[in-house]
Amino acid sequence: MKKLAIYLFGIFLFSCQEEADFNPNKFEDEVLVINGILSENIEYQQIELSYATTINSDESKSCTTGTINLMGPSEIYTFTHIENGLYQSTVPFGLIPGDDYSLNVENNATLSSGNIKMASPILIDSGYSTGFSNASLALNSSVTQYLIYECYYADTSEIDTDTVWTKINVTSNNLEKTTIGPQNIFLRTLTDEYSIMVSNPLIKVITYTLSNEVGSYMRELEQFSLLNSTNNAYSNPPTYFTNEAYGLVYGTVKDSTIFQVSY
Amino acid sequence: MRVLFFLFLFSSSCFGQTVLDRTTSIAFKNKSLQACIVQLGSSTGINFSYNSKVLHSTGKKVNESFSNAKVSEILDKIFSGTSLAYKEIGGQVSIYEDNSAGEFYTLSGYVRNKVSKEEIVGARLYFPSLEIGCVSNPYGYYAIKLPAGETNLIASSVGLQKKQVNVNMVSDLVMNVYLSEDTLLLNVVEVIHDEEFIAEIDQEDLNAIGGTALTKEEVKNLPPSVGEYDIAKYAQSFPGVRPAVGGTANFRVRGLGSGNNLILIDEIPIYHPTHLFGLSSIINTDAIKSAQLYKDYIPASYGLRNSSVFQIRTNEGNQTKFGLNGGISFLSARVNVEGPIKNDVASFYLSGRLSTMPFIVGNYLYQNQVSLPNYQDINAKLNFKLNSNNRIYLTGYFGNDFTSGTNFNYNWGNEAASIDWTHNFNPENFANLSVVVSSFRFDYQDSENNNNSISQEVIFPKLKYDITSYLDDGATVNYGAEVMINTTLNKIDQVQNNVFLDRTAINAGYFFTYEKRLNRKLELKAGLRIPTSFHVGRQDTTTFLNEDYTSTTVVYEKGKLYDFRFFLNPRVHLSYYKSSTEKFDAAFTVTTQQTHLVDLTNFIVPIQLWTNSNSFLPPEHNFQLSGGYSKKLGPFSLSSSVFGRYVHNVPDYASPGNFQTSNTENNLLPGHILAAGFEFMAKFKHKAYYSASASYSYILSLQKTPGVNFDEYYPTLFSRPHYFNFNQHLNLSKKWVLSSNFILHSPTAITLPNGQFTLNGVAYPLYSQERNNLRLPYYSRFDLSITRKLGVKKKKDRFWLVLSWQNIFDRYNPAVYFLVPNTTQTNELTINSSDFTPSLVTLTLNFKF
Repeated sequence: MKKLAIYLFGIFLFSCQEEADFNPNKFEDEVLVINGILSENIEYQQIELSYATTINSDESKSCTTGTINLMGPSEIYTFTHIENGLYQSTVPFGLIPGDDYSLNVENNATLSSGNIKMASPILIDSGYSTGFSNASLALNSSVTQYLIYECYYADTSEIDTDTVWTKINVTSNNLEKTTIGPQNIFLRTLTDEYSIMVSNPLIKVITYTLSNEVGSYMRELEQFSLLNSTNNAYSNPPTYFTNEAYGLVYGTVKDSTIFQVSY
Repeated sequence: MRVLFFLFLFSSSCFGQTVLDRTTSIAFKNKSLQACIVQLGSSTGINFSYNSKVLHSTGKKVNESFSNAKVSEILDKIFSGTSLAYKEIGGQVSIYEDNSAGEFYTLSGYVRNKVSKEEIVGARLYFPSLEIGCVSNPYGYYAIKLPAGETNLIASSVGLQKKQVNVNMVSDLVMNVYLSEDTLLLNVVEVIHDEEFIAEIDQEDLNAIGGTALTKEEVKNLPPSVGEYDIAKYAQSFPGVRPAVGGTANFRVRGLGSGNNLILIDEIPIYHPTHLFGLSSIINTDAIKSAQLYKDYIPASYGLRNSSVFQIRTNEGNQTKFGLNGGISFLSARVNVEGPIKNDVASFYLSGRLSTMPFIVGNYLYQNQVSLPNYQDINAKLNFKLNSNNRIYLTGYFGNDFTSGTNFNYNWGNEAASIDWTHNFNPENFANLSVVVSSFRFDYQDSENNNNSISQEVIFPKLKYDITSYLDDGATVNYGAEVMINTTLNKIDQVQNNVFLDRTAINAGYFFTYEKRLNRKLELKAGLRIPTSFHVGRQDTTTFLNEDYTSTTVVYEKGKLYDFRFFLNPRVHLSYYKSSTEKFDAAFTVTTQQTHLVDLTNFIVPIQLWTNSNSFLPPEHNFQLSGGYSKKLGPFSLSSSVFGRYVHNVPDYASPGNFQTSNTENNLLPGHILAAGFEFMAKFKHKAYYSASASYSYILSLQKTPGVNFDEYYPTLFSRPHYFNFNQHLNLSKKWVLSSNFILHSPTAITLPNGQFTLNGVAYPLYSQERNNLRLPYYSRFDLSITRKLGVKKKKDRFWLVLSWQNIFDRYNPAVYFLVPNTTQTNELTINSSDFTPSLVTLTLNFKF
């Protein structure tokens, strides 16, 4: 529907299109946006806090006054502000797959919290393709859960230190639900609109495993976008946190594979 | 009234200079009637013929004196209270007993165009001596009870010559009245004398409480938009009728939405009335025979929608000769063909339109990558006279809009067919049965991402039967029933949940109306409609939102009937004619709408979903009180009205924090609308050379929905308090015609997200609790058109050119707004707006053979 809007109104012969020349009311409320991806690797984990911005404006507003705690089954990790709303854990740590964590963010005496269930890993057995736009992954999962993926290509047949990876635009959703055991998924996002010089380019796919809670929340967001892109439902997106804080923090297990396009 | 009839009977023969006009002074002192007649004969020299027995049988004694009185006056007086009548035959006066005195007979028939033999809707028939009259019905039929004896009839209709006929009612009489076309268009419109029943203020094209008649001639006085004359845009020059979105053909009436108008082409309800994303209406002006807009008193035979009824009747086709007319511009082409199938028995009318833009511009500009929006529509009508009492009308409508791009297809349209059967049981009882099969669909298919695809089809067969009876006391009653099966089929591919679940509802209405001219001053129209509705389960489960924002899940079992509702819709309209040029009106109307229209977008494209009512979104009820005053003052016609309305159960989206999966149904809550306003309209006509019309209205329309806008009233979507329209039409010469149109209205109320946040590189909008608290810039537009008739001198004026220039001052009027990703930073949303009425020049060549 969003595309419909752009097409119809961009193309339609009689319609002039302009950026609206009036200013919506300023978004006065300080609505907190919490974003972050936590991993299983032992490292300094980071979470970003910001405020929702006014529409038709490009000024972003960081939140620097928050306090963040992540409570795991046995330990509590504290995050401190480093710069521009970016908070970093005081110690390096990795989340343990399968464990439950609880994130508490306090700002201006308002506590927003959300449960972060660390996903079990979904591992890539292999990647293969017959033609550039027909790539698939063979996966092996121990539980039924979601993953998202990113695709890159390199216009070369061999990897070396100079290999340049170009991100392939995701034209459709890249959220997949897997089931237990070995299975294949077709990467629907590959298109053939890229100019490739070599006959067998390389494809790199990175997968991020998501917990079911996070996966279904993303699915809900997708449905929200579908309805709301034409913005007549006046609905705000579903929230993952309490107290109408927006954004999403999730724990994920990352995996990747590189394979060559064959025909 | 009866007294008037008797008076009339005894003076019915007094026409012209006859012996009855001779005057005399005479006195009768307690004399028998026969003695009076003898005395009168000798003093005036008139020969009377009579039967003595008859005169004696009255036993009347006369004690009167007359000074310089006409013979007719004397006879009227001395015969009063008897059944005696008189008649002048060859200079002699014959006195006889009128046994028919007190008898009433029915005069009935069709009013037709003399040349094309087509029936005329809304023609006025007036009997000056009786001070009564009637109007022909939508099928051109009229019937009226008249006292026995001679009377004269004046028949009139806009654009046709008035006709006077003498009728002698000695029994029930069928008389078809034929009116000739008014060829002397440049003549002053003749003012009908004061006492005419159809008062001068009851004229066409003036805002009226009892329904406004819109004429095709006046539609063509406005500059055409996108190459076409458009009756839906002409309707917006009447106060209280505003465009749904600035510059478009779809409209909103008195604070309610575009889904609250009942648009009927003959008996076919139209669910979405526009082509070209709203720029032009699907109603082909050429195919219109008559149009009536009701927004105050709505006759009880109309139901289904709340705010207005726009009744279009289409041409039936010339009964005597073939005709061809049409026009072409770079945007569209149209052609109309009509003619007899069998003279005076059957005829046809066929009209088609086509957007020419895709062929002329699209292929060249876009190399076929994108098909420009294009449309086609066909109106067809066939009518057969089975015999003098039975007629069949077949109407067909097909319309389609289509556009596509590299990865999407989008089309929408209405398809419908109807059969109308009119039957006269006898002259006093006229019946009409209509069977309609109709559907509306829109279908957006995104071949790249099926999740973006959305479609809906509404199928609504309808059956209506009503009888009109013309009663002895001059009243007209109409009663009948209407049943519609409304099925909505929705589809969003690959998404688990539907936006709405499919529903089938049976909506019915039973109605009765009574119309009577109570006396010279007062006219009453009253009616009652009983709407009923229920829906049939299709084995589905839906979650609905309650007013306290909790949810209720309902299982509708297959084949089971749910949510039976009925309501009472009383409707009254009272007119008080202070004089023939001044009139007061009052109306109270209750209407019920069983289907809701939910806008899914802010666009004017029909991405709107119809849904049947249920216990969580019950039928909408509208209560409206209105009053009006109209006056004719020389060349000016003025009309003003005030109204107040309360509409119950109007759905709106719930509070922004309430997003619940993709089911739109459980994001809606019923609220109510309060609207009130003032409307004013003035028309000026100087002979046939110049006419102008101005209208202004102020309408306040407020809505309240539980939990929305902090539980306070908020403006309804797209409401615009002030609306001003001024148009002029000037016949410069026989060759040149100038028209202009100016529109100015206050900013449109809308809701926009005012915040945003980004997640995984995707920007999401955020709304505050406030609803429709923003207003777009004010709207203003000035259009001009110049018509040049070709071949006038040679009297071969078969062609004329129309050059129209829309939005001469090129003002940017943002009509819609939508969210798009920022072009430089895709993770940010920007609000863009679009203007649908930019400066645009079109040239149309029209022809008529």
